[in-house]
This record gives sequence, C-alpha cells and structure tokens, in this order.
Amino acid sequence: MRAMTETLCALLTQTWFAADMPEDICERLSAIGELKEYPAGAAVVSEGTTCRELGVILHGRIALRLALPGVGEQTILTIDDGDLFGWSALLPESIATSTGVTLVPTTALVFDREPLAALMAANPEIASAIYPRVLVAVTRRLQATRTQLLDLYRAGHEPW
Amino acid sequence: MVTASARFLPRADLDRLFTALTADGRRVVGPTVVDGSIVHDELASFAELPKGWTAETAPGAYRLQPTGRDRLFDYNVGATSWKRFTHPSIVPLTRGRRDGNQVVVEAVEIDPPKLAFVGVRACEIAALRIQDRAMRAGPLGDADHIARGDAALVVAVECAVAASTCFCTSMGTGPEIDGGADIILSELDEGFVVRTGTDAGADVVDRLGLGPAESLQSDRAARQVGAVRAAIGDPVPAEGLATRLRAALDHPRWAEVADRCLACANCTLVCPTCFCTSVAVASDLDGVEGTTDRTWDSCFSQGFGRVAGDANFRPKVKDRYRQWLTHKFSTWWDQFGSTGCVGCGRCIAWCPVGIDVREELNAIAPIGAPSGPIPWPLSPIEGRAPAPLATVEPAAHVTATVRSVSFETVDTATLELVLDDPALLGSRPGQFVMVELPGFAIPPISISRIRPDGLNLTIRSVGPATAALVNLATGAEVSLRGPLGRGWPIEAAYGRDVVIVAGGIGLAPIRPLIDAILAERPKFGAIRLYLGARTPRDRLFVAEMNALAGRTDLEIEEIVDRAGPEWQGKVGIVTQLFDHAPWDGTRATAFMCGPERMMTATANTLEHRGVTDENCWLTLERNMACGVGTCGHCQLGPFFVCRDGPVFSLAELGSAFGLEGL
Amino acid sequence: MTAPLPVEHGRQSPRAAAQKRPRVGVVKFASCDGCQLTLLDLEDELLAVAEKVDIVEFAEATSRRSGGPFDVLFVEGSISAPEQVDEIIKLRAVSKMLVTIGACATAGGIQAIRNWFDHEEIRHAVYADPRYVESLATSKPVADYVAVDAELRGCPISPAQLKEFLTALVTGRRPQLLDEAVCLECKRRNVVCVAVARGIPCLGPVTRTGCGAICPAYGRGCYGCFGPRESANTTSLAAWFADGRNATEVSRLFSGFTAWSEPFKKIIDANGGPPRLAAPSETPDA
Repeated sequence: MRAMTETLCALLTQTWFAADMPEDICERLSAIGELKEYPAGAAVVSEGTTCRELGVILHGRIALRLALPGVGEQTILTIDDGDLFGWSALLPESIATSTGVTLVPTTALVFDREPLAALMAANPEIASAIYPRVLVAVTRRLQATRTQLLDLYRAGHEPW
Repeated sequence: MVTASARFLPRADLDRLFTALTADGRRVVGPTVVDGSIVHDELASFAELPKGWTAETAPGAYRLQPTGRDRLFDYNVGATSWKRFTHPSIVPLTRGRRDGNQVVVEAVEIDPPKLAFVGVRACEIAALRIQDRAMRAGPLGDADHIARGDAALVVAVECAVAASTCFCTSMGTGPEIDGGADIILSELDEGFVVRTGTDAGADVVDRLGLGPAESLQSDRAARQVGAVRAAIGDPVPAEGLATRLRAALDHPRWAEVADRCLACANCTLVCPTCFCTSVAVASDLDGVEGTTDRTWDSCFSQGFGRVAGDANFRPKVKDRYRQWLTHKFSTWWDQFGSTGCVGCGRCIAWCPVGIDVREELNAIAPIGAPSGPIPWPLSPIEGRAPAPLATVEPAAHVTATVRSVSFETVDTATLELVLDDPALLGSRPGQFVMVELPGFAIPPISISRIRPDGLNLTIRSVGPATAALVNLATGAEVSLRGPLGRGWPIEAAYGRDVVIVAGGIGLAPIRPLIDAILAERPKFGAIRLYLGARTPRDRLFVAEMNALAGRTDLEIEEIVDRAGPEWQGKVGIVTQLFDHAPWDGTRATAFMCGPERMMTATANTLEHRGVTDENCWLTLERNMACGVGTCGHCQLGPFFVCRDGPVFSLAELGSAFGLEGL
Repeated sequence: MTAPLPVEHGRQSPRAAAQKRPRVGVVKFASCDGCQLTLLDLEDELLAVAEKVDIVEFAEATSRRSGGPFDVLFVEGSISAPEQVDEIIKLRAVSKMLVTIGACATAGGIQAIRNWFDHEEIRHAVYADPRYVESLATSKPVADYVAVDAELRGCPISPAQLKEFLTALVTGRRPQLLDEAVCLECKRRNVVCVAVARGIPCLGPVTRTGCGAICPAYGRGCYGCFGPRESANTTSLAAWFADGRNATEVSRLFSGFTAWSEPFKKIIDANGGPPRLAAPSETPDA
C-alpha cells in the first residue's frame, strides 16, 4: 500500500498540479486516491448529476461540454495533464456544471468526496494546498466562459 | 536670423508693401473683419485690415470692440488660424478609376498657391513651425502641407496688446518675434518698424527703399512688446509640465471636465497646431470613379478612435479630453520634440462652454503635484531598440494584380498579388499596406507572405471594403501604398528560443515572421508556435500549419475557443497552451498578434514564464487612415501605431499597453 | 495538430448584390412630405438613380403600389396613429433594410411636442371635431416600434446625404454619414462661431452634422433639426445657456423638430416641459 501511494504521488508530482506540493501532503493525498483509466469517449462527469469524485488528470484529455438545444454539444474547454475535473465534488451541492468526456484514453487520480472532505477538514495544511489549485481550475473555467461572452458583445449588426 | 538693421515704414506708405508683396503674382492673406470676428482671408488691399478694431476675449466669448485709434493690428488672434491655408480643411488626395478589373489610383497634383501671410503673430509662427515639423515626420510626410508651407511668405507682426486668453509667455513662443518669419513688423502709431528674417523677406523690403528706423522707434517697439509680456505673466508654469501630466493620467479632474466638455471639437479645429484628419471617400453611381479627400477631423469625435468592427479605443469624453490635453502638452514632446501648444488661447475663447485649458492644466498637473508613476518612459522614440524599418521609402499607388484568391475560412481570404515595385517587394515581415479600390474605404492590411514576385494579403471581411477585396476575381487589380510601419525585429531573436502566439486573423502578420525564421532556422534555438482561433472553422492556413506540425525542429500547438464534438484538439484560451509548459522564458523572444484582450492575457502569462518585456513583441491594431503618422487616428500615448509600430515591445509601450481609453 | 475540417466558402459580394437592381420603396406616416421631395429635388441624379434601382413604391412620384417586398424601404414620418403601428410592423416584415428619413421618422418630429400635453386637450385644439380622428397620445420615432437599419436625419433631409446614401447603396459600400457635431462642418467651412462671437445660442455642439452648417453660415444658431449627435452633452450646453436665461427660454431652445430625442427631452423635462403656446397675456415670466 505504501509503495502504491509513493507511485501515485510520483505520478502526481509530474503534473503541474503537484509539482510544487510538499511531498508529505502529496503522499497523504495520494493515500486516499484511486488510479482510474478511462477509454476515449468516456463520460467522467455528467452535467446536472451529483458529482461524487474530484479527479486530477495524470495523462490524457477531457472535453467539458454543454448541450445546447438545436446546436448540439459544444466543447467550451478541454483540460489536460495536471488539470482538475469534478471540482463540484468539493461543494455541498455537488451538482456538476458541465459534462466531461475523455477525448483520448485518460488516466486520472480520483478522490471520493467524503474521504477527501474529511482529510481536508482534519488537516488544514492539506486543505490550504488543495484549494489554490482548485481555484486555478475554476479560474480557467471562468476565463473560457468569458471568452465565449466576448463573442456575445461583438459589434452590432450593420446593414451594409 | 533676424537682421540687426531695422527700417521704418511710414503708415502712409503701407500700400507699397502690399504692392511689393504682390509684385510676383503672390496673393496676400491677412486679417479682416468677417461675421463679428477678425479672420484671415484673401485681401484686395490693406484697406481691408481691421483698422481700429480689437477683440475682447474670455472663456467662451470673443467680442470685437472699437479702439478709437488707427492701428491695424491691435488684436491678438482671431477665429481662424493660418492652418486654413497651410493645412486646408478639405484637400483632394487621389483620383481613382476602377473599370472592370483595371484599377488606377493617382495622387492629385499639388499646386500650392503663392501666398503672403500678413499679420502672423509670434505664437502663430511657432504654430506654423510645429505643425510643419509634424507633417514632415514619418516616412512620407504630408506632401500637400509641405508644399503649401514652403510656398508661403510670412509677414509677421509683433503683438502690441495682450488678450486675456493669451499665454504664449508660458509656452515660450512669444510675444517677441526673433525668427521664423520673412518680414517682421512692429506697429507704432506713426508706422512700422520693419525687420527681415530671410533673404526672401529682404528682397521684398529692399524694393520699398525704406530708411532706417530710429533707435527710439526700435526702443518703443521693444517696450511695447515688453508690456505685452508683462501683461500676460506666466499663467501656466511649463517647467516639468509634460512629466507632471503623464503622472496624472488617472486624475479625477478628467471626469469632471468631461462633464462640462461638449466634445464638439471646436478647440481642436481652432488650434493652430492640431493636424488630425480623416480620409473621405466618394464615388460615382457606377462605382467606377472614386476620389479621396483629406478632411479636418478631431480626436473629440467618437468616430475618431473607431476601428473595423466598431470597437472604439476612446469611448468616453473623458478619454478624448485626456488624449487632447496630454498630446498637446506632453506626448507632443515625445513625438516632435516640442510643445504642441503655443499659448494662443483660441481653444479657451472658442470653447462654446468656456473651458479654460490653463485652469485645467493647473488643476490636473500643478507645480509640486505629488509625482505618480510615469506610465511610459520619456521620449521613447529616441531610446528604442534598433528599428527594423525597410531601407526603402514606401511606394504610393502601386497597382498590383490578383493572381489567385483562396478562402481560408468562410469570411477570410488570401489574395495572392503580383507586382513589380521594388519598395513593396522589399517589405519586411510585420509591415502592412494600405489597400485601395476606388470608391471604397482604404483599410490597412498586414502582409501575410512576401514572395519574390509579390505579396500575399490575408483579409477578413468585416465591412464593405474588405468584403469587396475578398471577392475580387483573378486578374483584378488593386492599388497599394507601402510597405508601412515597423516590422518584427527578427534579429533580436538570433541565438534565442522563439515563442510565437497568434490569435485569429493575427496569424496573418505572423506568417511572414515564421517564413523568415524558418529560412534561417539554425540561427534560433527552440521554436514554439501557439495558435488560437474562435472555432475549428476559423483556423487560418490549416494545411500549412499541419505541415509545420510534421517538422521535428519546431513545436506547434493550437486551441480554439469552442468546438463541436468532432474536434479532438484543445479548447480554451490560448495561454492554456503554455501556462504550465516546462520551457524557460528567460531564454526566449516572444512575438504575438491577436485581439488586444488575448495579447494582454498572453503578455501576463509570458511574464510569469520569465519572458522579459524587452523580449516580448506584439503588433497593435488601431484606426489607421493615412498609414504614415500624419492623420493622428492611431495615436497611442507617445506613439503613432502606424509609424512607430505596429510592432512594439512591451518595454517600449510601458503601461500605454492596455491602459483604458488611451 | 488535428485534421482540417471542411470549410464553407463564398459570400455574396456587395457589388454582385447591388447589380440586381434593388427594389426600393418610399412610404410616409405623420409628416409633411418634405423629405420625399428631397428625393425628387435630386433631379439630375434621380434619373441615374432610377436606372440603378427599381422604385416600386413612391407616392409622391408614382402611382405604383407594391406592398413589398423591399430591398430598401425609406420611411418618412412619425408614428402618430394606431393604424400606423400595424402598418410599420407589416412593412418592416417585408423590408430587408429599413431607413428612416427626416426628423419625424427619426425623432418624432415637431408634432412630438404634443407628447408633453394632455392628448384630448390637444385634439380639441387642433381639430374642430376630433371624433373622426384616431390618433395616439404620442408622436414617436419609427425606431420605437421596429428595428431601423439606418437613419437620414434632418428637417428636411440633406440632398447631399441622400445622394451619398443612394450611391453607397448601389455601389455596395458603406455610406459616409458622420455622427459628429455641426461644429466640425462650421469650422471646415470657415464659418465664424455665432455662439462665441455673437452670443447667439446655438445647438451645433450637440447636433449631428450633415446639413452643411446652413444656419450658422447665415448668422443664426443651429436649432438642432438633425437631432442629437453621438455623445451629445446637452446638460453642459443647457447649463451654459441658463446663464442669463430662464427655464422657459432654455427649454424653448431644445423644443424643436427633435425635441423628443432623449438628450433634448431631458433638458426640456428639467426646464418644466416645452413652452406652452401662450396667449399674449401669458408671455413667459422673463
């Protein structure tokens, strides 16, 4: 088990997510994580459903999509190695805000929401290491959303 | 310089001066009373001069008053400045013809009238020089302005009275006249003390056969102008004003004055140094004959800062007032090495709501004001990195033929143009051309490839002019001016890693840079290209970029803002491609082009990755109308984007980059 | 890099579109027909224009009635009666480009002064027997009811602007219609500012250019018939006018052909509404 944790931590450290994380925090976090492999095309999160897991992509790519009536699915953001998915799992509501679909075979370290919440509640130093990284992920979502908004605010119609 | 030996012209003999001035067919323009103001107009004789009149001025008011004496020049400045004659409000620029595929555009021949300006004041001499310097700057200058100025003979008159709105003393432009005029008159009750400043002036005066002025007369003339100086005082202490103003860009007074400012443009149009113009396009009903005129415009009009797609860089009146005031008193120094204000006070008197520029300056940038951060270095033009300008002068109105049109996306096409003009063939990556189809607006277009036999232009259809261009057929002609602007400083990246970031149509000016770098591949370290587009369908040069992806000596990644489920690539903003990348930015020179928001975000991310401001280059989009720095539209702080850019380093721009409303 | 996606090509050239001879209509609502007459005033150019466009409806010039569809529909007049509301909505539906012409269509016109007053009172003042007249309580610009693609301002519109608009239309370019102040036109014409040199109140600084600065060129102040320009700072100008004038006089200056346009309206409102058509004994209190 210890060896397994070390391996997971090593994998995690190779991504930006844990590159600057203190080793002991990385290990304690990895101890409650589960390595998951998804084939291409797998839905790792579904919009509107309860989000039970927070994941960190170790290798692969996930498309975050919104279903638009009459338009179909639109990808508004893709996330790659080191990026987080399922951050809604950290919220009391835990409802996913978009659907995440793997574009390539993807490996992720996944944390069940209850043990993760318990670990962070008991260890503020772990919580304070996790939350800034979650904020980076959420900021990226926000930036992608704003980019879409810019299209809405483009110059108005000209008749000629 | 002014000759020491002053002569005397008795009042009764003044008409002889008129005769001498007009002897070689020269026409005389001078002050005369029209519609309640002293204005400059063509004179049939000196009997039309404003004898016995003066003008009382105050903020927002100008009233003629009788003086009760016979003096002719007992006023200071009137409603119009001499720019009416050196920089007329409407000047024909080109005549073009588009007949089927054939396009011919020719500059209108300049035949300036030979004029004598009579009654030019010290501040106005300064204004003529200042405007002349501005119109001679840049790669081509303004030919019409230069020709008119050169053809004029200046007969100056030293001020004998001071208006309440005068402040030439503060600006260092008067009231004494010690040069810059062909003939200088000082009016006394009995006549005029006459000095000459040039050979041309001496030629005219010699013909009058005047005796010398008595030393008492010269003394009285000197005392008279001395009294004017004393009366004006020093209303706007100018020492350090340029720096004080640029440290006050976020002063609350800008918003306060904007509440009163009508943005009506009167101040700029009566200003004797303001030179901003627009290009007015007209055509016949068949769209065959097209003309362009240069017309007076103003930075106070909303349309002045507008670019394609209706973006506006100075949407608020506050932005426009700040642009005007900081240009006059601060950034003019950067651009032309002098003040842009001569203290004539016209902007004060002719403001319909009486805004007094002296009061605003003393409120916004008073002496002893706490000095804030200076947003950009003083005189950046002097100290900038070696300018990678083309060595050849830009060419005007070169006809080029479309060899092919290929649509890159639904609204963007690449025109392959064939031409044989050596200047255009010598274009540098990053330069642009003004592209003209008679009858249509003339857009600046980045060169997207430099070929031995011509240029490629990649154009996005955002309005009628660009739509007409992307819809040209093979064999059609267009008229070009260029190459214009400063290109990418490729040499600055020799021996270094290269990072290139392009968003949307921004890839067009980047592509010749890629061409040039790959042509000298061994001179560079690692090369990384990051490309962004709105959707997969909006990507440019797709086949070519895919071919680059096959090379082992560079890295290329792309991302789109959004995509359908069929897109397997990355989605998000372009900085996502490298914000966690492992490379060391301190060894890299970066080049970027795209929407301004994208470039702001990219600049921040590159900074975090260690790329220094000196090594971060970008190309800016502004409303370019002339392309050579004489129309004023594309001003950004101390720069004209067309002339000093469009390529800049972040270090050069300082906080002029991304400052709202600048 | 991923594989290229298919790209849709093509876009209709404005020139090609123009060569189809656009179907043009001219209709009117509450107005004096003066703007339509400007079209007829083009005389020399009108024949040339008529070759380039197909004028399918123009009451002042022809008995042809088409009912649409229109490539370009010029609309004169304000919306002042209930049936006009239905009519303009129907016309919008059959028009690709709708262009309002004149102060009535673009701002509500001089008749919009009634918007400040009691409707019934006004009806009785104007008509001997108002029972047979259906009218709305307000006279409003067309843009209050339907989307408008372009405006030609003025009372009446300027022949030069109309010519420029038509030329741009048939050659497929953007018409050069400036939205800046009349002041620029005065200065380009070397007209001495009547406000500064003679103290005449002038709306030029807040009024859109296009007339050629006719009034100031004849020594009178601009009365704003082209309506507000972009960024019209009427508040500041009105404050300047208020020096030496009472509220009624300030209000009167803005109570012209474009009184109902927002920048003018707010000054009129702030100064007690438009001056009443007072009986001689009730002259304003100045």
